[in-house]
Amino acid sequence: MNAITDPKSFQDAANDAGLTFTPAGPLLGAEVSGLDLRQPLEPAVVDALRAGLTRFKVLFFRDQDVSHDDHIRFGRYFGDLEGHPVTATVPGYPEILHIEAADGLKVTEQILPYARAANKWHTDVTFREKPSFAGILRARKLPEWGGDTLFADTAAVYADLPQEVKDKIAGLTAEHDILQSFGYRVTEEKRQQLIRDYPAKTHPVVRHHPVTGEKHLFVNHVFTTRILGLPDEEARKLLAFLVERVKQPEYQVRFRWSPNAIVFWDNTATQHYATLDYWPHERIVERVTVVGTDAPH
Amino acid sequence: MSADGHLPIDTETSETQLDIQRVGGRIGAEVRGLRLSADLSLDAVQAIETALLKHKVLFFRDQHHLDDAGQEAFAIRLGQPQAHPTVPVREGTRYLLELDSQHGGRANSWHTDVTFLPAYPKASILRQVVSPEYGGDTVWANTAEAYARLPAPLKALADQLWAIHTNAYDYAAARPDLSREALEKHRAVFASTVYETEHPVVRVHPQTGERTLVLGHFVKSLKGLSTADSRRLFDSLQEQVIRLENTVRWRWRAGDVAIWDNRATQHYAVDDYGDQHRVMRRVTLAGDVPVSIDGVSSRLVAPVPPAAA
Repeated sequence: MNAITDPKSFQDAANDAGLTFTPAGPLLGAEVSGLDLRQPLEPAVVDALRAGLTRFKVLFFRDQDVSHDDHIRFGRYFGDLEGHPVTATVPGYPEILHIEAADGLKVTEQILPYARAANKWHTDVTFREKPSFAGILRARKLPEWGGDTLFADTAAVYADLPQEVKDKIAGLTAEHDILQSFGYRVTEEKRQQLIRDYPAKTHPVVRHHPVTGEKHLFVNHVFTTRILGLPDEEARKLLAFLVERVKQPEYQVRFRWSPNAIVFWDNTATQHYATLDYWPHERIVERVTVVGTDAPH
Repeated sequence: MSADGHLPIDTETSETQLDIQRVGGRIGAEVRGLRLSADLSLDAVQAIETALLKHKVLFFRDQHHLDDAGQEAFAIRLGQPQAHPTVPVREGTRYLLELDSQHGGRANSWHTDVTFLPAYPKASILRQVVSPEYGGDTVWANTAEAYARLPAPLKALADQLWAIHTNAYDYAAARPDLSREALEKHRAVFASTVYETEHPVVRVHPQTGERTLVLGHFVKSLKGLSTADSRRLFDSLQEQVIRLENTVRWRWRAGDVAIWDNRATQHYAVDDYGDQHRVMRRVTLAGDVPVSIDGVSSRLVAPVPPAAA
């Protein structure tokens, strides 16, 4: 047993590091207090955060007025960082994504329906062979109200599936494709490049968590195009059924942003949804993304 | 009326200025620094009513001074309290409905209160008495925003639809986790008298003039459609109502009070607190009979009203 999988030693690790984790709900989410992310972190603190992330799946930090360099340094404690094939980055910082509802276009009622896929339930970059391990989002510019981010626990979603569905999906795989979400928002030239550089990837419908080994439902509305190995009609219905399950409020936690808040989520254990309810106000967030080291299995 | 069909609601006209913090982008506001009681000034009561029409659900923290009698007395300032049509009131009170997790008081499916009656409540005032350590949030959805944001062809379709609402809806399908005993108890109490009412799917709000979608889990079918068509169409309209953009989620503390406009919202009590104890007490205020966009009123279908029998 270690701090990651054993609740008691997790609490010891938190105590040693001087951190307090306040759960936001019964399933996932905890607010972390007791640290300043503008400063380098002690190894004991990094260990406690890693353990806390595995346990709570998403961690919330308030009032962390970090610089871009601080943001990157924090991310690197947990692994290498990656950029994104489509989303813009902060000038001078290829590791920091600049995320807003319409990618810098002026949002109008006409553009709203086509605004980025963040207001659909998804796990980040599942079109990659090794989807990212974690995302670290900081608020840069917040609307006066609205713009919450919700996270859902995909282990709980899996656990509550009817047994016959679990039997059905055991061993099934599904295709994930960047074109399904980003493909229609880029130029034809970029589209052709994405087709070359990011061919669709196949992942198991149920993945084991790289740390806990727990089973997670691993299909999402944004990137999963089809379930393989079944007749078309059956595959389509099954995928529609599975991607709906995450919408039940019991699986979710809803985070209300505040200036300089930071959210750190386990991308192997969750889906998330950025609520687009603040138009015509602006909302800009910045993301550092920690690479995944394993292909889902 | 503004171009999008909304009556402008001006919260500045009241003399009492409430300290209001919006919670969601399109629904929900917290009112701070107000002690709810029967003794509030007329101005304060009007300010609450105005804010309620605008934000659809209002939250008040730390109302620890309220007891059952205090909650009922405050409710009278906002309207005419009304006991639930089938569930007995809490002992020693005139109108209070108690929702106790130890006695099956869970409502984790989207609904508007009591829509199986024609004149369903205009508002509900809900107080948390016993809080679980965590979990047990409530989510509300704004049914006026949901209508306003439908594409024009879907509005035209919804405008013509009528739905049959009943308290004998398929509770067993909605709550597969319940024991047979609990289901029997539910049928024997909640559905002790079976009501059926026809409501327009689009209701004109009697105070704001906004059009709202009247759906939720008491809907049995859409009038004049096959079961399959009815189900599909219901699902796609209901999905518009509960889009996360139209919702607000409240994390309760004991002593919190929420008041919602039951004519412009649906809600969902999140059932994620396991065996922890959670007690809520609710007073509902009498509402009027919904009217469709072309002026036709909802009507009771069952039990057959005496005049028609």
